[in-house]
Amino acid sequence: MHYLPNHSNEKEMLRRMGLGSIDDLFSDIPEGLRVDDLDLPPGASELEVLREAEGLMNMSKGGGDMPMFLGGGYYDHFIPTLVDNVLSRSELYTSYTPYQPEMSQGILQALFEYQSLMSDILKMDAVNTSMYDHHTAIAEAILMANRINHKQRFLIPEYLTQDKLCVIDNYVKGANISVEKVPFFKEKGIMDLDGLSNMLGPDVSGVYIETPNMLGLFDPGALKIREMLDPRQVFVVGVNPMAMSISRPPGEYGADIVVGDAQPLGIPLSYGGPSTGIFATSMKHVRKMPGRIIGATKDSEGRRAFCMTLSTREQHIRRERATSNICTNQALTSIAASAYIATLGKTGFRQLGIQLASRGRYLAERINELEGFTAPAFPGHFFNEFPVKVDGDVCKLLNAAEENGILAGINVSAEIGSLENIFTVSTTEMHTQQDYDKLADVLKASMEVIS
Amino acid sequence: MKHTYQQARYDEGLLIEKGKPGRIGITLPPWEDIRDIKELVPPEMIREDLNLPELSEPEIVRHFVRLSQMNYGTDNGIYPLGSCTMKYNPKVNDRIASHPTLGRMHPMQPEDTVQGILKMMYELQEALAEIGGMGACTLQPAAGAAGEFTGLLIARKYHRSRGDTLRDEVIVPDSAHGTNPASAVMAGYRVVEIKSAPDGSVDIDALKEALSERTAAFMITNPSTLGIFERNICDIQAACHEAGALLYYDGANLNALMGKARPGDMGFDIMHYNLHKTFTTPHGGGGPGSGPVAVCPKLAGFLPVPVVVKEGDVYRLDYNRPDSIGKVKGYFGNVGVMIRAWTFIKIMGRDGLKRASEMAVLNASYIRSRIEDVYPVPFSSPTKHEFVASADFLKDKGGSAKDVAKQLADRGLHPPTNYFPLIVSEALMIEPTESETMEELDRFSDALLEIANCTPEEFASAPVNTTVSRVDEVGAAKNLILNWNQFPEEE
Repeated sequence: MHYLPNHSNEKEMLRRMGLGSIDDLFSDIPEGLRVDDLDLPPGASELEVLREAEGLMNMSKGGGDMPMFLGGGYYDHFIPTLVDNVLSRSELYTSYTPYQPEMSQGILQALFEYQSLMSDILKMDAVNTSMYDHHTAIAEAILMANRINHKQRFLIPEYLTQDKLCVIDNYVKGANISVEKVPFFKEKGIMDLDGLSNMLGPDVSGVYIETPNMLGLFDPGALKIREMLDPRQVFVVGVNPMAMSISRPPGEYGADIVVGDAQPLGIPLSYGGPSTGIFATSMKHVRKMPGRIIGATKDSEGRRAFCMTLSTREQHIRRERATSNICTNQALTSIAASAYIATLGKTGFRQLGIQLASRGRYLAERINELEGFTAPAFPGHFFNEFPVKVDGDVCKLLNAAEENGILAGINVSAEIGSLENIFTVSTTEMHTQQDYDKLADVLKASMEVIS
Repeated sequence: MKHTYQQARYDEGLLIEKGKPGRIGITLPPWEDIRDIKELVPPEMIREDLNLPELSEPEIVRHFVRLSQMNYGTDNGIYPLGSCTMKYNPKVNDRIASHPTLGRMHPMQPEDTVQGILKMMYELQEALAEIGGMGACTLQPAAGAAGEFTGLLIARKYHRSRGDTLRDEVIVPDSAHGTNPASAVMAGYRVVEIKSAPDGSVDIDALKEALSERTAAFMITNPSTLGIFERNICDIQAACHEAGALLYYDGANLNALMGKARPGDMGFDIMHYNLHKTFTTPHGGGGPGSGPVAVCPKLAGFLPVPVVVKEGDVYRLDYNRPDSIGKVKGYFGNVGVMIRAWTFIKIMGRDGLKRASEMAVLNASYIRSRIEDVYPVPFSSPTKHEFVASADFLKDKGGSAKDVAKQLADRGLHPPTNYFPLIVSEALMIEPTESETMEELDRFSDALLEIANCTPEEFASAPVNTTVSRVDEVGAAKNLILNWNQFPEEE
C-alpha cells in the first residue's frame, strides 16, 4: 500500500464528506455486478518482485549473452550512457502530452528538436513527433496518400517482411485500398523498375520503396521513381535512419513521405518495442499528415515558445474525420533519438555510418571465403546488413549455428518464397573481432553438420 | 497574482544554436578496416552534406537537464487530467524494464532464448483478462487507440465469419473520447453518434433507436467520461446483443473498477486497457503506452498473432490461429511498457489493485465535495474516479475554463482537462488518481475556490510563474514553424 497515501486516512476523508464507509462510494454499482476478490496472487514487496524479475531476466538471453547478428530493421547498437540519463529525467518521462504549453516547454522544445534533427537527416520539412513503429508508419503513409489523391491502388515492394505486410493489410482495410507488390530482380535483390512501370496507371495512389531494403541493399532505383509518377501520385520512401549518415536523404530525390524506425538511434531493442516510427512529409502535404506536430511561436511577452500545432487534424478535435486515430504515441523514444543524434553530432554520425558499412564489407568478405557461402548474395551495395546465400538448407544451418551459441542471422527465405536458402547478417559497433571469428568458425562448422 | 511557485526559466537555445565546430559527444569504438565511401554506397547515392549540431557531452547533459526543469510531470505534483489517469509511476517499474538483458533482446530471437520475457508477457495477459473478466488477451496494440482499432477489426472479422456482412456501423455516445469515432472509421465503419441522457448516462431509448442489423458494435466507457457508472448497463448489453451487435469497453476509465466490478461480467465482448493509465507506466510526454485488448471466449480465435501460450513449463508464440485478424503492430508490441505493468500488478496483488481503485474514487469524490458548491457538477450521480465540473459561472466575471487552468499553473498545480466532454459548458474534467495525499487534494481544492474570485485582469494576465507566459497557439498554426530551419530571418 506504499503507493496509496490515503490508505491510512480514509476515515477522516469520509467523515469530512459525510460518508460512513468506502462502500458508499460504490453503491451505484448493481449488486449482481460487484466482485469480491480477483483471482490474482496477493501483493509482494519490492525486493521480492525484483528477485523474481531478475530470475526471469536470467532465463532469457540478449546480445550481451551470445554473439547476435540479427537485424531486419532493429539493431543492437551501443547506447551512450547520457541517453539513458536524459530519459531518466522524471519531469520529462512522467509528463503527459503537453496540452498546457506554458508548463511543458521542456518536452515541447525536446520534441521540436527531434523534428528538426530528423528533418535535417531526411531533408524533409515536416516530421511528426512519432508513429508507433516503422510498420504502422508505412500503413499510415498509404492512408495519407489516399487522402491526398483519393486513388485506391498502392504499390509496395515484393521484398517486404511478413510482419510489415500483416500490419499494412489491417490498416488499409477500412479505406478499401488495394495493396499490390512490385516485382524484384531475382538476381539483384532490388526493385525491378520496368515491372513498376508496367503496374503504374492513373488509378495508382502511390509507391513505396525501401533503401536499404529488406536484404540490407541500397536500392538506387529509388532515385528514379519520382519522375516515373505524375505529380499527384505519392512517393513514399522507407529508410534506416542510421544509413542516412552516408546515403542520400529521400528529400533530395523527391519523396513526398519518408518513414522508418528510429530504433537504431539510441533506443534499446526491448524485444521489439517501444521505438519511434519516423514519419516525415513536405509542407505541401502537412495538413494531411497523421500524428502530433510541435510548432514554434511566441508567448505574450514575445519570448520564443513552443506548442502543439495543426491539432485540428487530430482525433480529439476532428473525431471521425481525423487524419488518424493516434493519440498516445512514442514521444519519449523520439527524445532518446534526439539525444543520441546530438551525442554523435555532425562528425560522429558520419564516422559511425562509414564504420558500420565498412564492418559489413569486412564481414561479408569473411563469410564469402567460407566453403558453401556466397556473401553478399547479390552484387549491389549494402549498409550494415547483407544477404548470404547458402549451398544447403538455410533453416538447418541457422539452427546448427544456434546450437553452437550464435544467432547468425534472419532466414529471409522463410518470408519470401522466391528467395531460396538466403539469410541476412547484420553487424554493429557492438561486435568484437572475436565475435566475427566465432561467426566464421560456427558457420563453417554448421555447414559441415548439414552437408 | 504572484505566488511562491516559480517554474524554471532558462534562456536555453536549441541544440543547433549551441556548441562549436569540432566538438563531439562520444568517442567511437575503434575499427581499423575503414573503407572508402565509394566502395560502400552506390556513387549516385552518396550523401554530400549533413547539417547536425556539434556538442560535447557536458553541454548535452546540461541542455536536457534544463529542458527537464522547464517541464512538469507527475513527479512534480498533482496532474489531475480527466480520463488520463496521471498516477504515480513507481520507480521499481523502470528499474526492471531497464534490465540490460531486455535492452539487447532482439525480436527475432528464437523462443528458447526469451523464456523469461515470454513468461512475464503470459502472466500479464492472464492477469489483465482476470481484472477485466474476459476470456483471452493480446498485448500487441501500442496504445489505447490502437487497442480500439484492434477490437473493431476483431468485431469486423467476427461478424463476417458468421456471414453477417451488412454490419457497417459503430455507435458511440456524444461524450465518447475522440479516438472512438476515429478508430471506427479506420476500421472501415460509419459512425453513428447518439446523445447522452440528461444525467450523462447512455440514453437507452436513443441507443435502441440507433441499433439495427447494420450495427457492428457499441463503444462506451464505464464509468462514463463524466465519471458516472452506467446504471443501465444490464439493459444496454441486452439491447446490443439482441440486435446482434458487440459491446466494446473503452478501458480509459478502468481505474475506477479494479477488483470492484468487471467489464466481462457486465456483458462487454471486447475491451482495451491503457497500461500507461491504469497500470502505472509513464506517459513519456505523449508515449509510449500500451493498449492490450481482451475478448470474451467466443472471440478468442480472432486475436492478433502471435498469442503467448504456455505448454507445460514452456512458453511459445502461437502463430497458428486461422481465424486471427493478423497483426496491428510490429513484432509483439511495446514490451518495455508491458514489463512495467507486470511489475505494478505483482507488487499490488489482488488487494492492492482493489484498494487503488477505492482510493482513486475516494480522492475524486473528496475534491468534488470540496468544490461543488462553487463549481457546479451538472449531473447528480455519484462520482467514480473522475468528475466534470463547470466553470461556466466565470463567464460573467471575465473568466473561462482555460483561465482557471492558467491560474492553477501559476500555483504549481497541473490543470484538469478543459473543454471536454463537449456536453458540459466550460468543462473542468478532474481525475486526481489514488496517488495524491489528502493535503495535496486540499491544496488543489483551495486553489480552485480562490481562483473563483479572481478579477478579469488576473484571469487575463495568467500565467506569470511558468516558464513562459500565455503561448500564442493561434499564431503557431497560422505561421507554421515546424523545424529550426524555418524560423524567419530576424531570429
